[in-house]
Amino acid sequence: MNQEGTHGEHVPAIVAAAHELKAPLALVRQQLLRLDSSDVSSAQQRLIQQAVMTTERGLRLTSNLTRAARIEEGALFTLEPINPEQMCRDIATELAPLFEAHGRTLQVHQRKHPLLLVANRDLLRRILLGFSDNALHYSEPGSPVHMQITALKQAGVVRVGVRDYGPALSSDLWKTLQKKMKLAPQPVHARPESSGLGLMLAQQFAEAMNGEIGVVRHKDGATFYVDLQASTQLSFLS
Amino acid sequence: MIKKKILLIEDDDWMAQLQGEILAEAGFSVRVARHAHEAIALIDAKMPDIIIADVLLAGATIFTLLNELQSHHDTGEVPVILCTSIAEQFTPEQLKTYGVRRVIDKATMESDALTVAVKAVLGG
Repeated sequence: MNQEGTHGEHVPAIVAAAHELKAPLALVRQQLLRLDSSDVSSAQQRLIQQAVMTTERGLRLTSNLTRAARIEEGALFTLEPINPEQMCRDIATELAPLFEAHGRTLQVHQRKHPLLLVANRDLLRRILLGFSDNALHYSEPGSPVHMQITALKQAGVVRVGVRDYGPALSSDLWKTLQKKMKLAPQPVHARPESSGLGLMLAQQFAEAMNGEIGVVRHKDGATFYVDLQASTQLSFLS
Repeated sequence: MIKKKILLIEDDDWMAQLQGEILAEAGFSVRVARHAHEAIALIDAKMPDIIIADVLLAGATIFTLLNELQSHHDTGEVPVILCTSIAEQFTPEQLKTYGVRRVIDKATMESDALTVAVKAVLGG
């Protein structure tokens, strides 16, 4: 049996599992939110909030898995011009309680001139939420996570990156990972708790938008990024 | 003051209990059906002002029931709110013909999401 065949047989089981997990996770979250509104001590309140955020991370993953399955089924996604900085700011606001609960911050580098890229709003959001979740997990306590947008003008591409300050990646990791990630999740060296599943999903989402993901290695961490086609409206704004 | 009547169609007992309590506290009269057949029996007994329904139910999906309700003049007038964990799979255009006025994502909804939606639909 070839590798593609093996992969193809695993997808329905994973998607079915994701669907099955979604309902109980959503129920637990609702029960916790109900508790959250009643009289509890501050310590209990903190535990409830942490549990809510944990279920939300789980729900994001199950939702990403089912969305990836739709891509494999050939579903089409509308592409539109998007201001990635605004989206990053929205995500930073949305994840602020989660980062604060972990003693970290998520910051967006502000550009003088806004850039526009062509993407599907939902898929890009999922990629950046995934990168941010990943950065939260691997950054050092007290350190910031930065979201930054840059233009690669010659390639006609806008890069949206999420920079963490955590364990460094080996230089040949990404090449190996890229070859394998389309077939099955692979652990990320130096980040042993990672299965690589989040990156595999991000790769799928990026490809569905004619883009790609990548990583830049730093001495003190990594920047995971997604490259997407710049909008033609870019010229009017920069 | 007469309470507005909600029919909640939800096959998860604990989710139904939770949502029912929240809606009752907000001043609504709530009846719960676990599947389409039970929902039809409850609708026949007393017409609800609004239906809140999960999509994936034991047996037929909610769309079989909604299709049936839309084929009758009286039941076709009852507004529907879907509360589902597969909200991302639907667009408003797809659901308009089923009388669906709102779709709430179970995975991201806040505690008061149903109450707010019911008030918006009934008040609008």
